[in-house]
Amino acid sequence: MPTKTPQRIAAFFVVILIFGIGVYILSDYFRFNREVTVSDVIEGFDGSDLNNSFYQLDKYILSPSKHAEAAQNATAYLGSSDPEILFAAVYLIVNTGDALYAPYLVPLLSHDDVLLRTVVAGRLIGWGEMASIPVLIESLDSDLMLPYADPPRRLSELAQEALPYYTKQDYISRNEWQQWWSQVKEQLIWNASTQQYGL
Amino acid sequence: MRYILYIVLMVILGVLPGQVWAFGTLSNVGSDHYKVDFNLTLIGPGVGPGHAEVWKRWLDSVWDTAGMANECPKINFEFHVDSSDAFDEFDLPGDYTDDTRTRIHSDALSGLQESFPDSSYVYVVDSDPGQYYRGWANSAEGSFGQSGWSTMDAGSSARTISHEVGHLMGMDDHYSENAEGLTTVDEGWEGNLAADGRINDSDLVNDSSKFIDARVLSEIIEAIEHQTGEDLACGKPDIEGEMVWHHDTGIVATDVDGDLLVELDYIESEGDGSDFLVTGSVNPIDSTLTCTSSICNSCGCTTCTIDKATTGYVSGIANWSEDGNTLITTLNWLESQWPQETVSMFFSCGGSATQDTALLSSTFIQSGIIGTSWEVEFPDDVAQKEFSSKNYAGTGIGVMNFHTNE
Repeated sequence: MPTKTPQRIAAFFVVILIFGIGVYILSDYFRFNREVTVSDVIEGFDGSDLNNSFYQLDKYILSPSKHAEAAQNATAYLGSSDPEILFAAVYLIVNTGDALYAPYLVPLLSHDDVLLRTVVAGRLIGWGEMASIPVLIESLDSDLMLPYADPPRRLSELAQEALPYYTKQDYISRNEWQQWWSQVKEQLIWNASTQQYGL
Repeated sequence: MRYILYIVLMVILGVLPGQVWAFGTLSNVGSDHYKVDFNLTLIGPGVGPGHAEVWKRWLDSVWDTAGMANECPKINFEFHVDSSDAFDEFDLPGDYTDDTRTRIHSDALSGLQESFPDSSYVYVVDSDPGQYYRGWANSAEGSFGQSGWSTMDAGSSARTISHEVGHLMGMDDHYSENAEGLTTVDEGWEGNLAADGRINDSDLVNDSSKFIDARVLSEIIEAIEHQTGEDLACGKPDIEGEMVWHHDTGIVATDVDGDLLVELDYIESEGDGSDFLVTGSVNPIDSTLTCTSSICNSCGCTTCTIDKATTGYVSGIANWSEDGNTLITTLNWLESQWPQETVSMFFSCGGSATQDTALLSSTFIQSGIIGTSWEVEFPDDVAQKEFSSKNYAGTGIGVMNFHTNE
């Protein structure tokens, strides 16, 4: 009936409005409650969207109960030829794994990318892998910056932190560390209980 | 009328010193000198004994040195760092968007906020020396009205901590990253805490003023201003040529031969038995506005005070004359950032600025001649007089407020 047209139009818009609100609420709910798997996080790592990429990685890092799941699943990506995926996998293991994962990372100490192998070495030195020490020494006089760091950090900072801490030596220059390494590398022993290298 | 009263009340409350915002407190401790008390709570498995103390020492040293080295305003920073071994497990929701920040605060942080209210939070990741973890922080811009949120690792350097906490206070990044993660310092920001990763930690802690300049502090000041409604700017405003605030219902300020005049060309009053007569002559700095009140003696009041304005369009100090008849207001700030701003003058009197306050609202512009005066007639039973000048756009921004002491 013509006289009812305005009411029908109003009713139509009300229905559309209610529908729209419903869709919004549902999409919002699913967006914030969806489960993100380790694979999602690693494969979704996007260097052009760092905030979200690291945020997704933090979903596992900031939740210690998920560490074992994260580290274990990340190992499947350590052979990736995609540098972003490889970095995400390494980063996740570095921050959720333990010394049991050292064998997975050791091969990466000879990776072509000096940034990646230094990040790996920075973690492995604390897991008792002596092969990490020369990699860290190599980075000491590097002017490169750590990838994606916020705030920007020198690559050499990892070595400057780790070498004195785990070896109890206080050399400054790369040459000094190199000399020390040449002298002790055959005798150096990792003491897991003290978390120290010694002779 | 009640709405106007509400605005007046809010503005009056807003000019009180020691304003609290989500993550800290701002206090005016002197002329062009402020103090920021910033609350920070460390949570997560990486928090160890001594962390809170060390972080506080670094943050106090870095930010307070830089704040006090600032030409104007001087800012003292004091950090109150607490820690908790609870909250190790954290479920971050959804994707990283502005909305996510809200969700972090509304969902995940609810327990934290009960235990540590009025604080920003840092989740400290358990880490070993050499372990690479990338921290991050919400910018203050993203956490207005909420606590700030950041993650860092247990071995974070003074530079990293100062940088991320700088974000929580409003500092922006001034470097860019490409898709491969390589960073480039923005031009002109070399050696700055906001950008440069080559700053030595001990150099920063020893004298941060070399690495935190006025540009960084102005970003933080701006964030604080947004959150508190305060205006931390100082010094003489840069006024050139004619400056007009509003043409219809407000004060017209005109720069004439270096003097800024307030022109009052409109008056409107509501309520019974009240009218205005205000004498006005306003220069940018240290000029005088004289108001006379015909009933001041009967109010038994002798002193009137005014706090510096919240956002500083007009502010000053007002005192009643010895005979109690004249209100003499010295304005030390007059500035217009908003050419179309409505400027209204309110007069209220009563026991307090609550519902029982009799409010006379007047909006006026009169021809701007030095010596123009407002006369305020108070009701006989008034115990306390209150006179406010408000410069507001919708939400109310306090400009000038003075009242008699009972």
